[in-house]
Amino acid sequence: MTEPTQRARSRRLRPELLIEVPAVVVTFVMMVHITANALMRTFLNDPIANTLEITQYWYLPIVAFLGFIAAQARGQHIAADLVFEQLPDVTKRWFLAVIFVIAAVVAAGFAWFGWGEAQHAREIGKTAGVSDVVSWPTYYLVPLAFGSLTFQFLWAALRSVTHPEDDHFISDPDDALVLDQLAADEGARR
Amino acid sequence: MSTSTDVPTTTSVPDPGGAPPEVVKDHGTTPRRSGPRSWVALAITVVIMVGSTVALFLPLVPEAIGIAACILMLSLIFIRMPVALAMIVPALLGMYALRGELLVESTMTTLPYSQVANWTLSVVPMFILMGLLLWKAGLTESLYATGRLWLGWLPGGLAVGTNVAGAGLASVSGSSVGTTYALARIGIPEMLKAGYDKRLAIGAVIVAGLPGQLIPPSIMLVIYAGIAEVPIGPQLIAGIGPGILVAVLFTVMIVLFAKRWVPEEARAAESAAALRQVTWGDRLVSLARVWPVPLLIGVIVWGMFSGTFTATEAGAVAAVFALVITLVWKRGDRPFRAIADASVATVSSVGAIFFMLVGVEALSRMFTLTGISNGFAELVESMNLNRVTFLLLMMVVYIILGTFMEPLPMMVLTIPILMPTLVDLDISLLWYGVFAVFMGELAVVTPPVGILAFIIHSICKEPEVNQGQKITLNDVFMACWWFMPMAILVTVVLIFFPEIATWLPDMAASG
Repeated sequence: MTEPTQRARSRRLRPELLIEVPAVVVTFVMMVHITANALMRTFLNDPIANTLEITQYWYLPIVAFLGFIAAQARGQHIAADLVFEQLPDVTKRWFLAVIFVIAAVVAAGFAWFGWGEAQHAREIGKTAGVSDVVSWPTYYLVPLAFGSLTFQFLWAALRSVTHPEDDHFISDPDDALVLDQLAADEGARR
Repeated sequence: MSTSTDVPTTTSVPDPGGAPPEVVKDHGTTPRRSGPRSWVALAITVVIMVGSTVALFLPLVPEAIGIAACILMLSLIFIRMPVALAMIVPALLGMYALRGELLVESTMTTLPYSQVANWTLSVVPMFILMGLLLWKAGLTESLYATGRLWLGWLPGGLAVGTNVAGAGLASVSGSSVGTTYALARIGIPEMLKAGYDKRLAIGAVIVAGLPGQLIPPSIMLVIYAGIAEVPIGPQLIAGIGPGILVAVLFTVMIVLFAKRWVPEEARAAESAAALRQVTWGDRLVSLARVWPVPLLIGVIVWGMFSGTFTATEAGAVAAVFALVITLVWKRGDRPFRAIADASVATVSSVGAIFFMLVGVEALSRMFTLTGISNGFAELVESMNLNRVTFLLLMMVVYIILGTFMEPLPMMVLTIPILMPTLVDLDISLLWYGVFAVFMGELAVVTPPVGILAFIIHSICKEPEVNQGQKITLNDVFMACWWFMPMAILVTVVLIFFPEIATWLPDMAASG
């Protein structure tokens, strides 16, 4: 950060952008909307109606559920590691594969039941709390996010068997950013 | 982080472009493991995992099933299952064993959405966005210069300046690792050039980020408040006193160390120069340059203290400020790139945190069914532990956990199980949030797995940083250990004087 960020790799269009761009846009809309509401309420005594409901039932689910997908795409779901490194090398890839298959099964379960819940929410035309803000469409984010995670985990399982050397491990998303920067510095120095 | 043996490979970060992380390949590989020890590790792991899974379905008392679920969860975490799923899998199995498939179905149907659509947690994306924007905006140099101008006359002035700058940067950016990264690059070379012992130079940078997660805005305290179901505003305010305490006590410690580790002549020259050359005008100008830091902390603290803003609103307003600051400070230096980087990183951070919160909720629901949390509270009672002895014990537990775990998993795994005990022992939940977050921060520092140590070591490999001195990973760890006694002292002070954390929120509540 003291030097201009050096990107060791090329930036090209990638599928994650489909997820990240809408999520980023919603994050900024959320920021502006909440700020405007806070200022208008405090200084003009004229709050924007339903800010709380829209934040809770629209902005937050969109950012968080799309974030589930984005975090997995970047390998940034929080993990820890104590025993894994001690395991025999020949078994590691199979361990990872089994873990990711289990993860995929769980994600598929959430997607399946989430879809049922979303259908139900649509049928009864669910609204946010006691307001008349429609909220049912965001229920479909659950099957979307977990459906995507199912395939992402299966892909990760496949990759860990076929390309075990690509194995990378991040314990915290915050760290990922700094480690990314360190790797870029390292690349710049060479 | 992972074990110390694979530290070099840790730079194998996920590549945002999807390409293989080529930077990493050529710079160190994990030692190959295939000896008998690794097969023993494998055998033990498999036995524990299979055994705990089988135990879940045996006709045991609910508490025993809870313990089996805990063991399964830990072993899943340690073989690298993402923490959220490592909590969800045993939670669902435990629910199935205790209540059958209907409960599992209803949990899977409602849990993710109800956990995410939560007004209280809407502050999380705002704080993260603000922190990442400021991180990318490059506040560090100015903060560092200001710290020096104001405190350069003290013995070890450079180190003290680093410490204070770190407190400011870490609190607004919310990132200890980010702060360490930035300060190590400018702080360490300056201190080494001035003749400081490398232990002091490194130690000052390591501890600089510690108060950051206590002084508002703090994402960790928000997450704690979400799990423990305490109000966010008072929880954030509770961090102010302890945050200042940490910053002040570590400054005192640096001054004491400087008497030993900074050569006499260097000290004299430094403080004379600082007194002679620096005018109050310079100081005020430098303070004006770092206006965003006090302003952002001020907006958040004032907003919540006065009740004008909710935490989310304060976060949103602060994020707008941070956006403007990034545009102004980075003008001419690809400001939109910085903003794009920060906001894309915000999305995956938010995703990772919320996914974990879904896991925590699943786990707490299962714990409630098994009665294991109440069982733990009874156990503590039967051991005749009072508030102080229990907390001293927890301090040791957290320090041990911290040697191999990251702060967030540490917090989310311990808090659900401790809640009834805290209530029994009459421990303020606001106070415990501060305690748990500070313990988590220490986890980032403590060897052998502290990620800060690894980052500093990596930066110190650059010749312009190490000034020709050889700085090994061991040197960095030694520097950590020198500063640990003060961290423990701070914790003990907090335990004996809980008012340091609680008087501000009490005052806000009564006033």
